[in-house]
Amino acid sequence: MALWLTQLFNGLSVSSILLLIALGLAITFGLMRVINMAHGEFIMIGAYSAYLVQKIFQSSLPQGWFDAYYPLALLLAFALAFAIGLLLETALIRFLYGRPLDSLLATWGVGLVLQQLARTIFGAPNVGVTSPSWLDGGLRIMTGVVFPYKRLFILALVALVLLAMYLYIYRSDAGRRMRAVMQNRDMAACLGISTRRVDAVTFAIGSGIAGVAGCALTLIGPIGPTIGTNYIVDAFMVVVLGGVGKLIGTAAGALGIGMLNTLFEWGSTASLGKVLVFLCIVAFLQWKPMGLFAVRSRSLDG
Amino acid sequence: MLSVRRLDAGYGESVVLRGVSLDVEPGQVVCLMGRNGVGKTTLIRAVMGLLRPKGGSVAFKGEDVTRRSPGQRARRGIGYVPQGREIFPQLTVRENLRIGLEACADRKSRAAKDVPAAAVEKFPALQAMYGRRGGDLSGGQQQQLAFARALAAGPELLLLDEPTEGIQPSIVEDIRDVIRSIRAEGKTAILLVEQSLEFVRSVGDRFYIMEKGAVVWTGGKEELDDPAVTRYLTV
Amino acid sequence: MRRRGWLKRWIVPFALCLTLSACGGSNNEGGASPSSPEPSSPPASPSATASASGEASPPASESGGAVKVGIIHSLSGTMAISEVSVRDAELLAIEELNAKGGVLGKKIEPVVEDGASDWPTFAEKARKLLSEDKVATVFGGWTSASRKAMLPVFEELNGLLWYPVQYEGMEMSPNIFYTGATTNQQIVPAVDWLLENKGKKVYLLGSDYVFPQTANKIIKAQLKAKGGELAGEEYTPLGHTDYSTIIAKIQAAKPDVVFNTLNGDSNVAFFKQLKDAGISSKDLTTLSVSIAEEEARGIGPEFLAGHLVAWNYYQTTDTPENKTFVDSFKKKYGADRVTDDPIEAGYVAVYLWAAAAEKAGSFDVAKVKEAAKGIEFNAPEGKVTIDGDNQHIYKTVRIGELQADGQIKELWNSGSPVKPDPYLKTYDWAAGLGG
Repeated sequence: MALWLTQLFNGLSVSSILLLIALGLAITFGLMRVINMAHGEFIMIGAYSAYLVQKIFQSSLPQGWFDAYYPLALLLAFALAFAIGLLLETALIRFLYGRPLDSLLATWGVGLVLQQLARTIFGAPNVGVTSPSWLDGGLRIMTGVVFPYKRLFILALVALVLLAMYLYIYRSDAGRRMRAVMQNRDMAACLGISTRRVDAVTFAIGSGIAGVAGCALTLIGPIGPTIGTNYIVDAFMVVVLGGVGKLIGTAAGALGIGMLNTLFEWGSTASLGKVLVFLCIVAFLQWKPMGLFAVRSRSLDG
Repeated sequence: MLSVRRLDAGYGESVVLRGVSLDVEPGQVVCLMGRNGVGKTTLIRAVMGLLRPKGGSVAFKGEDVTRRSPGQRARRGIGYVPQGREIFPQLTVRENLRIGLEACADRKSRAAKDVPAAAVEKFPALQAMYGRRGGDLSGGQQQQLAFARALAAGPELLLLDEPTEGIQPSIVEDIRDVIRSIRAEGKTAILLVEQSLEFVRSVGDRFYIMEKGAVVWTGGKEELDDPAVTRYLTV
Repeated sequence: MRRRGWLKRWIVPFALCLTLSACGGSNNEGGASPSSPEPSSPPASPSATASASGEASPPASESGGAVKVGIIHSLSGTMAISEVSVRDAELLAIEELNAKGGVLGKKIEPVVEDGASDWPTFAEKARKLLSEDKVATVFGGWTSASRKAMLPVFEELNGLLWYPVQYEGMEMSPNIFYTGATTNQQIVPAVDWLLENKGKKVYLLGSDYVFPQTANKIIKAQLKAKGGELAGEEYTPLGHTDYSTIIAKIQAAKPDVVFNTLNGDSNVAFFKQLKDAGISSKDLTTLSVSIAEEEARGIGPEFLAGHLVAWNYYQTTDTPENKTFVDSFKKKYGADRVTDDPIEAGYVAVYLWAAAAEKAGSFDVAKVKEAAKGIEFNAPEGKVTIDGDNQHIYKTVRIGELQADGQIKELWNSGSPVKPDPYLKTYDWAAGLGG
């Protein structure tokens, strides 16, 4: 019983992490058909933001304030990744819309540059980030079953981000413009929408969410120049499986992969588990090539 | 209002429009006719800015807009109802209409929370459908929605590309009435692409006929009985 | 018209990206810091150079007053975490030797290449160092995969490689000197110590590549022979970062000890998540062989406190040579830097080569190898001796405990340096393991 509970929670936790790292990509890839191979590096930017804020708090502020660094780090992670995403979109990505192969190559190069930049600024070795003390420990459900607070926090964070995204996309003027552009770019332009601005902001938001993911991941994983490469493949798998164009698809994809991964990993080994999940995804895509939840729209097919 | 001069345009290497010139005066309803494939839709798209011309110019309200993007032209007061309606299928009727506001020149109007009155007063049937998704509407309802959406920002020039094509007769009548009422108000000029001679006779002030990418006949209502007209229009 | 426009627009940024990343990739500088001395002018002892130039075919690596040596480590990519510091140590040793006059009167000129955490790149750069730069010797490698990729190149071109990292043994190339521990100087004594002091049930957790797999084969044979019990064996891909399920599996298996051969980023994730799951070093003993002071900084000492490691050297190792070494290292590279086993092994390798070359009176590979046999050196880790039989060195085994400040406290050592036995010939229970 304890085992079932633990593994169920683990599956949910893995799913939430997958969703967080894939959400930004779902927006840039799903809405704009841009293959952003530098997405992992935006996660890295978010992680280093946490490191930076922590360092500032450690060196300039009294000890008692330290635990407050984390919410600030989340905000900075979003802002920094948003800004760099905006820069990238206006300088490079905007010229590559509708050209998946070109955007793949160019963003791959950008990813390498960002990694090397991180190496130059912060050094090649991983850096340590101390998590705030209010996240230490866990919820004891019963003997042998502990739900770590950090993982619970990430679950809550993901839910919050999803809610924010939903409100933005479906309840705000900017979100309505984004949906219009996504469904029919030419017509949206003819109605007075600045597609350039919508594209830039959309890409920047996707990047910003990746930054938040990176900051969240400092709680449980490494922080170094190459952490982006650990997550990029998973992110793409979630988006492709979930179906391009709908956030609910991304959530479903993340849940599916996370649960399956945990199940297979328990039954066999971590490596084999990943392979089996991959095979399942490939098999599923044979049956439903557009993914779990697909949106048929001219801008995506064209 | 609208001044097209010696426009050459096409897709890729092919040339569709050859030296087309056309004028629309304020408040006027100008009808563009011709057989299938002569370039009527291409001309409309070039006027809207969806197509970059290879030569010639487009001027709107005295300003040369040949280099301007469709969004910029919409903001300057051109409304567009394309062939095929092109409503946003996943957005509700209300949301479609509010997108129409994006062409408003000032921010306050753009951010208005209510469904634009200018749009709906001509199409009261839409009021019952605000919550329905655009993709769920019938062809005729979508046409009304597309029309209303284009009116939302109060354009000074409306481009209508075959608004009655494939629509049931009762809605065709509605559209005829709407065009007439817009003409009566005199605030909005219309460039209308239409195949039906009978329809254009009932709403138009000035008429152009195109063949093989060029304007071959132009005249007022009185000249419509010219036998050349029928010759150009029959297949 | 539109097509030509986009080509122009994206090719410039893309080319810029590639150029920048390539620049970051390979370092051809002569030294890590501007303070490293330039190869110069008249050698200290003219007679030494005379004998050197009296060689039948003087190697092109000696030009004027300098001898070129190669350094090849991952300066980018996932292994850069660990390898950049080893390069730094090797450069420090070279700088110290040059300050004392160099080797055979010639200044040592390092040629540094980046293996980029990509094993074929290691082989390619090794070939370049040997055939184009014509270096006298090469210091480098970290993962066994990188060493195995370079081995055929060194054997083909008759070069000399000094490999500074603990590894899985079962190897004895005539063209490699191994200054890191082999299995009987680290893993085997660690398992013995664990069985005696912590318990019989052992869980094996490692990254999925050659070192952990080979190490675990050895450990399993050892457990069988010594009455230990295998509680479980798990491998995760390199770069794997979610250990929630594995931690659950470990808890279910209830071992006395986890023998940890995870590498790189995985260690950070594992220990962070272990602590999150409420498991401390008091609840579960782990012993790692890929975590040293350098990696501890990237993980965060609060997650590692109390966990065990097995090495042959710690920054806290109490020898006078070590005090000097740590001081010099910090002085050159920064007070917040740390030294660890592979860093020290890289440093020692340079000195051992220099000593062998001096004894041979030449940089010729065959002569240096011959002269290297039996060479002793007072290293920071204690006295080391090159074993002429297998080109490994005698090393003292030290079991240590990670402290809250990121340093390692020694709990036990083997007393005297242990003779290297890469094929475990002196252990009967290892007879069946492949050689």
